Amino acid sequence: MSEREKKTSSLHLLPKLLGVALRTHPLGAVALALIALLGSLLPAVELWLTQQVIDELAQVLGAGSVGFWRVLPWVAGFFGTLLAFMLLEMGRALLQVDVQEKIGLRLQRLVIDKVRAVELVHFEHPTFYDALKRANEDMSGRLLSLLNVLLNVLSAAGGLGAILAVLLTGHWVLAPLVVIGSVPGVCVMMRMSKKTHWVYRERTPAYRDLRYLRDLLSEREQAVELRLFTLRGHLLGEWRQKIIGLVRERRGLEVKQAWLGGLGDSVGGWTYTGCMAILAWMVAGATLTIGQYGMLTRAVQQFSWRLEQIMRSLGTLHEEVLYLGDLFEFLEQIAPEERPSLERELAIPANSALRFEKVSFRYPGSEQDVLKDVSLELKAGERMALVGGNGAGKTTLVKLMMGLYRPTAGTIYLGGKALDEWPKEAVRLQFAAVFQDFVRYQFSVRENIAFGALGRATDAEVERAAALAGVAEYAEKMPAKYDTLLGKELGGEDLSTGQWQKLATARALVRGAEIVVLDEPTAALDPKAEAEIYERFGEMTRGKSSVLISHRLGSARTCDRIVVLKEGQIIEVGSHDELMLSKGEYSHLFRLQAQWYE
Amino acid sequence: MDENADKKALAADYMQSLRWFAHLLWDAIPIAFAISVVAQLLPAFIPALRILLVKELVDSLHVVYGEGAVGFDGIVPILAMMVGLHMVGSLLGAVRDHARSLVRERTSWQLQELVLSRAASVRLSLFEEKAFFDRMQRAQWAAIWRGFRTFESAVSIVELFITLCTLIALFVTGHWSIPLLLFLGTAPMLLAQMRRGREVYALFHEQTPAQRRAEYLVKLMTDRDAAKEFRLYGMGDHLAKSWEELAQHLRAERFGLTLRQQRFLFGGRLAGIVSAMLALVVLLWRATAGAITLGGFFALAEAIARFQIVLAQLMQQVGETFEQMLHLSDLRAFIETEEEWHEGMLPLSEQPLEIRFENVSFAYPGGESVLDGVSFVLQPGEKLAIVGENGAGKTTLIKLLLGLYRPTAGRVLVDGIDMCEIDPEQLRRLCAAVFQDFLQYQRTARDNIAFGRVEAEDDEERTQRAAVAGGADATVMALAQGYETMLGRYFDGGQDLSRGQWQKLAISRAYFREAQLLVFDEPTAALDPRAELEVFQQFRSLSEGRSAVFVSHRMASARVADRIIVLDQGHLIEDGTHEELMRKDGQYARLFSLQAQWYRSGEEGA
Repeated sequence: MSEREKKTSSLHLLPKLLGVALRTHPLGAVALALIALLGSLLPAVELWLTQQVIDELAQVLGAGSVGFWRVLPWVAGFFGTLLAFMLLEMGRALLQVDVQEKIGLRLQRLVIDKVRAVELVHFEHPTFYDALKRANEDMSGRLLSLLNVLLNVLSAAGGLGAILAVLLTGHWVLAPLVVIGSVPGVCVMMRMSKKTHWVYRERTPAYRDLRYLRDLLSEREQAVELRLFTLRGHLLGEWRQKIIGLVRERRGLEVKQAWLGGLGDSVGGWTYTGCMAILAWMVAGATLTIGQYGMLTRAVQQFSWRLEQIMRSLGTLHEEVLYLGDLFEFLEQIAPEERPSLERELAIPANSALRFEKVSFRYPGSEQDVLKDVSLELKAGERMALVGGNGAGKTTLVKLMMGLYRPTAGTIYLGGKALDEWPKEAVRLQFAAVFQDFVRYQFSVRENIAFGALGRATDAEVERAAALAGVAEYAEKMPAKYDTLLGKELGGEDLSTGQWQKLATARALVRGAEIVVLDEPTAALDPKAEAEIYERFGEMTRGKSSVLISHRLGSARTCDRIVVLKEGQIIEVGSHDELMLSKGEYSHLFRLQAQWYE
Repeated sequence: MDENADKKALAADYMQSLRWFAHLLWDAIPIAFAISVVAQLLPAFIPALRILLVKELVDSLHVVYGEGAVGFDGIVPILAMMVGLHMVGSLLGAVRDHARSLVRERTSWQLQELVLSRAASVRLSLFEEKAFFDRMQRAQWAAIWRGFRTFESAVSIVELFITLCTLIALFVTGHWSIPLLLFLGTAPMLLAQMRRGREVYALFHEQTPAQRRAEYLVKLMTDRDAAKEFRLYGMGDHLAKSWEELAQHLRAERFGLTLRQQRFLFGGRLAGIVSAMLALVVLLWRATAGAITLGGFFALAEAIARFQIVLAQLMQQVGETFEQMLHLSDLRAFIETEEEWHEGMLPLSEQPLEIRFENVSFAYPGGESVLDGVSFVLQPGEKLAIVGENGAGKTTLIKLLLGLYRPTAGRVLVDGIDMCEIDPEQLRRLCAAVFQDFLQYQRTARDNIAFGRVEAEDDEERTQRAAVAGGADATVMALAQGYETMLGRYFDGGQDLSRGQWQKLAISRAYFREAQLLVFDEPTAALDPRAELEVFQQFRSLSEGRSAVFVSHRMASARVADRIIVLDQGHLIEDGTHEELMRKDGQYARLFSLQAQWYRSGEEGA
């Protein structure tokens, strides 16, 4: 998108943002605007009171000391305005904190919901991932300052009108003079803010790099290798070199801004003194009273101050909207996961067979098919093993099966209907899985298991699954048993990889799904646990279909049927005995492994 | 605990931190630092001078107003001085901003570097403690966001204080009671601000764990690897809800505090306004009594307004400083965390090592013991396999072997020297390892291999040798730009690999190190059978003349080792060659047969 287009589209974001604000906290948002407007009128009242006090005083100074009591009511008026101002200000500050925090959370929620709604395959796309990261990072701080800016503009604009009216009671030339005085300063500022934004956009990847290096140096997962390979000096050096480059660039901008800003400020000094001279000349010419003089000099100050505030706010407004564009882009441009038919009530009959018909798949943006023309049937109750080298497409195949990805060509049928035609939730209820890179939830043992059947699993079911998957052995020994918090980072107990994997297995078990997928379930398990899992595998999947991915070919022979994948295509299908007889890829690999145990 | 003494200690700690910080800046950039301080302090006199000029101006005008238009010429020099003063102010401002940007540039990275450098060099076992993470997070936060601000506020407190003094001097020309009134009026505000700062920090501190939990939930919900489980198990709703509850709760707590604070903040503000009004009344009384001129009244009234602004700024700075004081000590405390290296550690010679475990026990801080009285010797050049169930202590043993952890009891001797006496960097120079949870560096393929020994990263031939040895060469060759291809999804144009491919790179990385001791912790978990076999077949020839230790659940692979030790619940229960242990028919033999049964031909599996 060109810079020009970006600008016009960014203006559309403002109403959206206001929409979010109004939906999140309507009362607060409206009240804030009202307070800003109300507060803007008070300075004019204050100016008028100033004039009264000084004029009274000038008269009194001529007439004698009796006048003290005549001036006092005006002072009381002063006190009233200050008090009102203070109350408004306190109210504003409070409301602002409230509104801002709520909106921040709301936006975070929108992002989370968005992430949940998009199709899984988007995660394989770097641009999506980038947009997600950006949306996650910039949001709340930027948004809050944007709201601030909007309120500032509102309040300054209201005050500007009132003060302009006061200025016109003196001399018409005052207002134009002040405007002229503030032009250079504002120009400098606008230019700088544009440059800053440009630098920020240009350097996003560099900042990401910095963050990555920072994580490498300070996070737990990286700590072991960092020490072992003595990488600290190297990475720290790289980090330093990069951050210095970035801050040096920023410093260049800041130095320029310092001097240009000083220049603008001194121009303001000339015009301000010019105004004073005009006013003094008018007093000397007896066209102004001393009180008016006092009022008008203050009005000049306030006018220029507000003018600057508006200009500055408009400058940041533009900038902040540009930043926020990333967020709304993320929220709007990526289509949510859709299914052609949404017959919510449709239930998938038990014992449904699953069938792949000439299914191909490739990742978006990729030129190569990961799966090519795969046709395959998983009958109800059948146990199938998927075998093949690294990168043969085994994991992709099971993701397609579970409806996590959609085929780029061909169709997958479940119970006679295309997978797409069933409600999404119904399809997912059919499956349970233990993935290779299962998640280590930093939650309690119980929650880690119950996540497999949220809201359905009773404690007894959780514990049964735990016993079956071998979790019970270690969970029973923990301080709070099943309620022990897991994961070091949040202060819980840590588990070994094998123990985590058993937990993931229990999570899949508790689901009670029709089809169970085990993607290398025993990669990190010791032989005893491995043997146990396979022994229980039959029990776990009794009456159910199952798909097993394993590099341990010994475990594949317990399955009814073995499917051998190579470079995205099926090259062999059959039982262990059949495949051993045919002396193809499978029998070759099996013999390779078996020889170690002779 | 005595609260007063506590406060005193805090203040002393703050002054110390400030001095430490000033030293840091002075050493790094003395000139800019000095200029930035001077240029910030000088303008402190400007407000009072300006007010004096206003007084002169109004007095002249008052006289002129009485006498007629002739006197305008007398005003011109005053106006000229006003312009002059403004110019000086602008110039000083520009100089200050210039110098400040130099200082800021420096601090923005130097503090962070101190934190990172410390994080990367503390003892590994600290990473097992949650308190350490909390401290590190607070320190990082302080380094990034508080850094130079802390110093700026310290200087600006001095600046504002000078301005305040000059204004007070002006007030005394009106009446002595004016500054007194103003000060009495501001005492409540000062107390209120200090209390606010303390309470805000206390809540921040208290919320840190829950805040981390909320951040973890967001990370989890937007994580790529977790995305499929989320979809499959439909748990997004549940987690989003619990996140929202938590985040709203934290927000409500913060808001509740702000709300409660309004009461005393209101009192403080009210006292300020009342005192200003009283001062104004005194001024009026003096003016009507003829003790001060109209110009004097005009100027002093403005001075009162200015005084209030300056005082408010001062309060804010003091409040902020109070908060920063605590952040700054967080930062210093972290930077002063003990490093694993200390003076007087012994160097090592570059040769195969003999490593001896003498009754070694280990427990994680606050946990049960993971290893208990383990003794064995790894001879130079020996290949040792460690076998055992999950949780038996294999990985912990390896971390002790590499000097990443220190034994809680017993000793680990390297060539007869206690490991605790050896410079860990030196020791690690001689070791290489592939861990179960090896890293996937979001860097080029070359870096992923050459990170094994960064000093040799330009050695093309060594890189290729290591890639072939680890089985990564085919993967790398298939990449668009070969060794220069950016890997991983984190950066634009990065190419992601399968776990098996990453693992091959990790193995190549270890080989690239060409170390005297090679450690493999489950090096083949993610590899297909063919690749796994290659790794084990290569293993012997590649570790020729070096020591090697590996952990594997593929019992058959233990056969490439000279010796096997079996761990069970932290105890060493068996030690010997494959044949010996098979004859012994103990734990090892049982585990071996368990796996072998799957491959026994003719016979049906279980």
